[in-house]
Amino acid sequence: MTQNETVPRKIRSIWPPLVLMLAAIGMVIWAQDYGRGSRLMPTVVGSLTAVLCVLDLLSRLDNGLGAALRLALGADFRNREMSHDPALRAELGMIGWMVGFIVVMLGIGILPTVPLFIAAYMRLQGKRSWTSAILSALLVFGFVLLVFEILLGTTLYRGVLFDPKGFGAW
Amino acid sequence: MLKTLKHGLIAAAALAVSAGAAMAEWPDKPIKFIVGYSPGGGFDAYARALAPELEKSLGVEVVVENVPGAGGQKGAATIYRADPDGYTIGIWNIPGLTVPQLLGKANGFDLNDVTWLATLGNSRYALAVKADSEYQKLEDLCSLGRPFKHSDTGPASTSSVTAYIAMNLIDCPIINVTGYKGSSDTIVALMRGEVDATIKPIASLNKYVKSGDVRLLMTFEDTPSVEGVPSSGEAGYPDFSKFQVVRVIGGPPGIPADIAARLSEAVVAAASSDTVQEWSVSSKRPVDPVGPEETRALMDELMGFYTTYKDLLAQK
Amino acid sequence: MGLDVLFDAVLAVFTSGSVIYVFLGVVLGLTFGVIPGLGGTTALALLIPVTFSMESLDAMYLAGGVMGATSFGGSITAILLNTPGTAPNAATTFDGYPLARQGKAGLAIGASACASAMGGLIGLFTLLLVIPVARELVLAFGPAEFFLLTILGLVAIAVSARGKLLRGLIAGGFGLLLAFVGSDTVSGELRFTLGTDYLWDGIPLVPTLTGMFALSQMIELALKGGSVAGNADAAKQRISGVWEGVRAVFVNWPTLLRGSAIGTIIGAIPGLGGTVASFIAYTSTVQTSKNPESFGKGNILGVIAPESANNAKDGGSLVPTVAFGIPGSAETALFLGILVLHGIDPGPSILLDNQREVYGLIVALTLSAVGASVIGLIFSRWLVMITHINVDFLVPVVVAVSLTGVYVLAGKPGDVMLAMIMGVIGYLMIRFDYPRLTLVIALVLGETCERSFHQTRMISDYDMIGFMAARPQSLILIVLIVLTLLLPSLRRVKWR
Repeated sequence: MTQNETVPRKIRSIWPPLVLMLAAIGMVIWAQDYGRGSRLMPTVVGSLTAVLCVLDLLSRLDNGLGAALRLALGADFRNREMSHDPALRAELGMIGWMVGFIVVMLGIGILPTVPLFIAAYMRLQGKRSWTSAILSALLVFGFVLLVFEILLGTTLYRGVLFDPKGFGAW
Repeated sequence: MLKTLKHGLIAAAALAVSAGAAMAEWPDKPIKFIVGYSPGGGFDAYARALAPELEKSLGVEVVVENVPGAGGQKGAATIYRADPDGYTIGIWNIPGLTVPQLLGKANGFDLNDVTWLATLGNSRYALAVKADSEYQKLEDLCSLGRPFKHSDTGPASTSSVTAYIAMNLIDCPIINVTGYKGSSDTIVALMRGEVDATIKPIASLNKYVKSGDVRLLMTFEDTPSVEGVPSSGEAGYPDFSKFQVVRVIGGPPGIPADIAARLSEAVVAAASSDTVQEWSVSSKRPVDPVGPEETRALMDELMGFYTTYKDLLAQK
Repeated sequence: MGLDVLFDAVLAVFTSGSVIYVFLGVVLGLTFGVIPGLGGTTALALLIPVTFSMESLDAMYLAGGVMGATSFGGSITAILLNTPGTAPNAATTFDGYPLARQGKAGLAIGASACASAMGGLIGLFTLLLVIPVARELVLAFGPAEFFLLTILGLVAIAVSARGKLLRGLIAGGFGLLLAFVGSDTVSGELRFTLGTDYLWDGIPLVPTLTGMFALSQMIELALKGGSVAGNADAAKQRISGVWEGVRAVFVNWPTLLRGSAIGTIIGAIPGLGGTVASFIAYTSTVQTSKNPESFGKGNILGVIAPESANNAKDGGSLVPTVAFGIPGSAETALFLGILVLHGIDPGPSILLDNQREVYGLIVALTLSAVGASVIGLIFSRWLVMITHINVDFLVPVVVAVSLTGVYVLAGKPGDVMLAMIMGVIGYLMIRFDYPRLTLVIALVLGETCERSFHQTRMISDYDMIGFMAARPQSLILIVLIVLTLLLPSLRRVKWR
């Protein structure tokens, strides 16, 4: 398959199916702790998934078998969802932003976090001007405040620091 | 002895923390009324009917909050863990919560410590079959030559427990087909012909009796309340009248006595009010409120009753 | 009963001025539909306490407005950002997003608006027609069919992700495994809960949807940079495409009708909801097409089919409701909850006792289906601009708003954490090319699948195969499953 040569090595490596296969087998073993009815479906589904993972693994081999499996089971990479190939550092950076949002939100609550996150992201990650960053932040802050707090009358999470119940709110 | 000690300690701690402020001017902020089921169910309906009247007699807002999940256990745990300052109370499903506790499957609450405030009322069960079914009496179901199939929501649900214990008492073989999403679904399953019979509260079945879809074979009570349907007492099963759903109001362990007394009074007064009584008649949901002493006695009696069948329930 | 009642209901909504509630509902429904992860269920759940103080009929108008508008609202972000606003919109991403990337977002939005309105109308019209036989229709489907339908849904989804059948099935398997977390609905046993009561009721859906669809897509977009439409010619991307999209719906009326019919029928099956309807509509359109290779690359039929099914299912989901007072979907369950709050006890005679409310809801749904689309078309010019907004602005806004929405539904900080975890898993799935859709839909269907499997076993005296073989409804579904699974493979082999 010539298309496969344009696919980054790590995408079509055997690691993803291998990890998934182990996960599926792990679930099957875990399921054996439960009663007869309760473990039936997890066992069946987990085992089938593990078998499918083995097929996925085999289909990644560069030989006749792999090619045949790719064709018969629709396992090629011609129609990939993500065609660009960012560096690992960039990927970790993005995930870091997400984790940052959660950590700040848990600390000081949702309302202040929303504008802070938007302004910080636009300024630091997007290198936008302070004006546009702060303007966007305030705009979204207004929307969240209006729709959730005022119109629907909900109380957004206030954060461990400000919630009178602290961690008790969990 | 140990239990009393624990109870006392909790109460003392609660007093130290909150009573000082609470006593001064209770109630001075909204009271949370926890329902362990989604809006639209029977317990929710009771809570919503009661709340406006409670507001009138307590003079503060009473906010009904639904905390559904884990067959009502999440709501129960939420009430149980709340501060015992009289600002959180809730409605409890007995024996729906008694049975999990007996089997050691209760998580986050202990019915022996709950501050019981009042009993709103109890609903009776009835045995129903499809309207055009050939079964005419309970004995027909027991002599099929195979276990009869019964539809239910979950194995720990009140009606499941009732069906299971009651049929075991009279050696009638039964298969409990569980997993239906609500009591309406279990009755529709009956109409589809998947199961032979179902045991459900009379109020839930009544709608389907009126529409001509199902037929009642027997009500679980001593004296018949539904015209043309024999009661279990008449049919020769005196024990069956012990099975009922009791809707109880209670708060977290250790609510100061004076606040608990005022809450009890307010609940009984609200439940006896004309508005709630009218609602009770029109919606066919029984409301016969009784106070805290009777409630506690009833709790002990029911716990004792179900403890007798603990082994039977455990092997299910 | 029938037309005169309906006519009175239409008259009532306009003369009483209550039409404002429908309008409010539409606006709210569109907003919640657009916010990824949130949908009609969330909006209605949040509205329940608000409706408490309202007249029961007005509450119905509000609920109907929300219900009718969310699915179109959800299609907007599905097309523009590859982020379905609600689970049933997921199928729209297959062809809607490629269109947006080619700079034809206007075309896709126009088609979606029109297909949604038409599908909604067809579904409600069908509902009025089947009301006399609604009872028989509902009783015809039992646990055996629920089980087979969940399988059909999963298979349809796996084959619709083109060229990813195998990895789609693997993702589906994991979706099912995740669905088994929490208390077993049949035995009550707690499974895979890691000892926390957070997982007692399983993995909550809204945080998962938001994480898998919105957050992971935002990570991907941010890493790509630029904007969604990228280098597509901005000049071409004008409003003109919208009317072309509207026209495309009428030109392709067989697709519209098939989508609507599938939506209505599957929507009518209680306990399943319409999530699979749009996927089955999509797959059947691909498989009956003369040119199946064009799907997944921006074929407008791939937008029309799922979106018409998606709105038609609302009409269908009212069939069990009018027949027995039982819900046909999560939304109708909440609608029944609102009725209970107003002292109405829904049951098999709901249509006789509460005609006013039921027809009020139907009228509100009708107005809403059309109204939402009209609003959508009016604003489409600005909506399309979203695809030109730079990710530096888009990413933080979508992340912040959708995570806020996740919190609002249940008020649990744990939900926000879960959404984040799912976001990372979702990104890894995009990266390594495992379709996220099959995982999410399997998670949605898993509970029904397992429950109905065990129920069928019990009611068939442990002879499932014999039981199903004796039921024509089941047999038809089995044949459909086999065909759906085999057709793409057969086709692929033939073309070689």
